[in-house]
Amino acid sequence: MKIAAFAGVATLVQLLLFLCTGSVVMKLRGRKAWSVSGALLLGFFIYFSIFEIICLIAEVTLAPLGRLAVIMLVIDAAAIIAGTVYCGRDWIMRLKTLPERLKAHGILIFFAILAVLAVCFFALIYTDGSADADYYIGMASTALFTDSIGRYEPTNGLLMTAINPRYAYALYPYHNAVMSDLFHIPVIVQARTVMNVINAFMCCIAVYRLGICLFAGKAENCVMPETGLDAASASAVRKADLFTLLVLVIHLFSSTIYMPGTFLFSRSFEGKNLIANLVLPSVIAAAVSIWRGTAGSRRHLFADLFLMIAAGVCFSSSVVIPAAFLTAAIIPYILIRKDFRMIFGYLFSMVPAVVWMTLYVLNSHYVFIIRTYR
Amino acid sequence: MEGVTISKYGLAFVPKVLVGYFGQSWFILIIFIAGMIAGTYVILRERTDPSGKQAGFQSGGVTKMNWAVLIVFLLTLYNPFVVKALVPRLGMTPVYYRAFWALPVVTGAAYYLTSFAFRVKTKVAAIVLSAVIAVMAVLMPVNPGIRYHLRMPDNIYKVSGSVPVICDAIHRDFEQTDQYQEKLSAAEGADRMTKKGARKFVRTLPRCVFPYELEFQVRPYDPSITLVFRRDMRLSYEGSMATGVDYSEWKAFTPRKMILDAMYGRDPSITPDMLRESLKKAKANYLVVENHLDNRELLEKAGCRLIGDEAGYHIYSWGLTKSGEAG
Repeated sequence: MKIAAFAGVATLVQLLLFLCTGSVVMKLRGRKAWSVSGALLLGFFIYFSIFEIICLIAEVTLAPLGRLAVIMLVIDAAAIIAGTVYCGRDWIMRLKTLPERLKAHGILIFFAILAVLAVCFFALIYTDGSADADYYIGMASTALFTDSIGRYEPTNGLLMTAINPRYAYALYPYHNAVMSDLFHIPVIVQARTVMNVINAFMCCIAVYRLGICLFAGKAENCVMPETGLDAASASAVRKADLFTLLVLVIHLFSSTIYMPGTFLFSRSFEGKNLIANLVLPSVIAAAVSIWRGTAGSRRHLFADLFLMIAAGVCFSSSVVIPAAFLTAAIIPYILIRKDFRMIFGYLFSMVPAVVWMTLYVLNSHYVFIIRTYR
Repeated sequence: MEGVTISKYGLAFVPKVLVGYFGQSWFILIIFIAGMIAGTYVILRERTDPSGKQAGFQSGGVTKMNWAVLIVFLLTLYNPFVVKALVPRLGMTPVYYRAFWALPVVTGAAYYLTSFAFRVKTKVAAIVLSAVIAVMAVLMPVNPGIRYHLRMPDNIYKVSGSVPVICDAIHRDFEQTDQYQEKLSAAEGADRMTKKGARKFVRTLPRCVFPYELEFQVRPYDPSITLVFRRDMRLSYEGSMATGVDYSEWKAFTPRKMILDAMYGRDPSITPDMLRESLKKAKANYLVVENHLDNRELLEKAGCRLIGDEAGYHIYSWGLTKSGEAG
């Protein structure tokens, strides 16, 4: 019971952390109005981009996990305090307009919410004893138990001589170790239940934001757009509700273990799920806003894409998939529209993937190795 | 995708993976392609109306993007010649199916269905969408996650109820052994940042072999238990080629395979001496076997000692002594 209560608190605090991080950055960007879903999503990408950098430094320098947890505690606390103080009033304002916004959504929002709750409930109860679960949760549980990062083979517990390049840069599992350390809950509960539910929820949010981008009118930075109450926006949010509902229904009927739907329902704690169901829909949303001509501030759009790819590197080496999509979507656009200035934005957003790929290739070919001992 | 390799299928590899990827969910692909064709028709129709050209670009942007992505991928990521040349070199054959994530089929199908629903009257939209969902429900099986796993977990850790019981029994026994006390005092004060110190620390942990159904649940639940098998090697023993690596030729694999074969009586040619040698090489401390599959006679002849019968499993220790007792 105590573990369940702590797990509940951990879920809420982590969601608050993402909301605060996203809200602060949105406000710093000069956004007067913003959406909770957009702030959550942006906060999620920013958090994991920062986590990737700090955790990678900790891994390479053989720092103990406890030290990483302290650093993240300071950053998380700063983000939560800054968000609450700096954006608290905005949240209250958003809450006051909630009835109006719900009215704009119409009846479809209730079906969409029901579908999202169903996905989260399934993530809550789902039991996965697969080989991959063994590896990814084992990474976190081993890290917490040995107070180290990546030094021991997660599936048998023996000391490795060097960290496997395939897993050396996808450091998302250590977030679970850090949170378990901070909230004093078993890693297996944080990874399999807390993060399972958070990830499933965030994936649904990403699909909803994609829906907004697909149907919104011209807005400033469509990936995290403002949702006003004018007629056009009301129509867009209704379409986005139906779109979210349909995507979740289609995922429900994804009949093979390879489709993103299976990852959403059964492997939502894994970084691969975040690539397929969170990073990819967000990158698609950015590409859609470019092709539809609804992307307002390109500076913010490519900054968001940079964060998505950087967080993707943290999640899984499958980040090549959203990077490939981005390339396939943007290069033809640049050529058709002769908008060659966009190439700089594209190259900027691909920097995390290129850096990761370079490190991975050099590491795989033993140009350098990441040792596990001094 | 297990069993689907470039060496086996050559240029047919990409279509084979595509078929395996969608399985019985091909209806989604049909909706996506039909939507793209309908979207193209709308773009062409709007182009003939000069006043609606700009609006046409906006509304048709998604379809144009989908075509652009599809064409680029057909030339690169889904091009059988490129795939045949590059994918094996990158070691991506088992995970090539993820290339199909990059084509936004699910979100694309939902987009076209939503666009359609808001273009027609509410009643028509409701009927058509209900029909589509009904067809999906009839033609396509429910997601495997839900099909096989929709049940409440045994405990808050979401592991089999026997895992905590067995792990506790192993720790209880191990901590009473002379070997544990010896290893603990050897590891005391050792610098775990060094290779030697870290290995001394690992030796203070019990090393076990679990049945396949429990093996992958143990270390996420209890990382203070070490295992004789690592994941990929165990998968290989069980006949899974999901990792794309065949461990049967590996030197370290032979004694490990022999231990499992002996535990389950799968190889009658294994003698107690051979098993003892394998247990020594693999540095195994504990063997956990299902009661009804247990090859007890051979295990006991090889010196394994039954230390517990917990939650339907026999737990044997090997090579461990408790002050004064013989091992």
